[in-house]
Amino acid sequence: MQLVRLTALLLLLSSSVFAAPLDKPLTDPAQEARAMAIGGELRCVVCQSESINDSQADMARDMRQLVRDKISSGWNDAQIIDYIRARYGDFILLRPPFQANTYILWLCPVLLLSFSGVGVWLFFRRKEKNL
Amino acid sequence: MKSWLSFLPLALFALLLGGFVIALHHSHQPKFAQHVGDPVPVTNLPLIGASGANFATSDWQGRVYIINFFASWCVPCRAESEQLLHLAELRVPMVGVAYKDKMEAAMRFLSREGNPFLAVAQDADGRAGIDWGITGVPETFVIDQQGIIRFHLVGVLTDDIITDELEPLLRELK
Repeated sequence: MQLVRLTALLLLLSSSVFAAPLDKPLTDPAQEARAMAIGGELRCVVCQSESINDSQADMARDMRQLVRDKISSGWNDAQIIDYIRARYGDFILLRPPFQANTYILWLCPVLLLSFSGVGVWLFFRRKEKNL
Repeated sequence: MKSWLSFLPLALFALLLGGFVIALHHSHQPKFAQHVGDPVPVTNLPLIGASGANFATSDWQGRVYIINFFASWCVPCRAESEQLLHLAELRVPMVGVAYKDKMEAAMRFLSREGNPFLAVAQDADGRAGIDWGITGVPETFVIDQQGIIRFHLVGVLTDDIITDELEPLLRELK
């Protein structure tokens, strides 16, 4: 039993020793949930395929804290995202916005599938005609 | 049935492939968070070594100046210390921003590496860095008399960048 306690203590200590400054979650769970929701939409500028929620980078932690601070100040979600987007551009959004320069990006899968669908349909129609 | 139609899927694929190759090639120059053409972010930070005084972008309106974000804990920042001193020789005022750094550590770093800066401001919590849209340190900016960012370098300054890009730009702005 003593050994179990000792091991548990050691494991607990070892994980926290090298931690960077920790996040300070908002005390209001609804607000913290908003912070996490917004964070999930924002790209980490250092580890660019991760959201700021998932990234271990210091910058990501700073961004998470920034989001929380703005929520505490009474900003709504759109204001917070616009604030960060004004400073980092559209690429900060993990989901690309649907706008003129991304129509092709968004519509490409649908268009390609449609064309292939039409192509397949025509192919089988021709086959039927030849029978 | 025209036989060339059967080449259409292949042709489309080749087009797409070409498109992707070009796009991937361009992605080596990250356009992400590039701020050339943007107005200078309104900034007001305490100056290190001048208690009570601040660095404010509003005070610098109408002047050409260089901003360099650095930190004593930033290893690549040491690689550009010589280049920053070269840049200082061009006689354009340089303001250093110690990003998420302690005052003493920043000043110790500068006394060791050489101090090219007219003034050193402290961005203790990194919020000014976010306002400038930086993604790390070092980053270097040139601001013109209209308060527009005319040069933005993400990463280490090299002598080639000074010669090829900064010298012509600064000459043009004067």
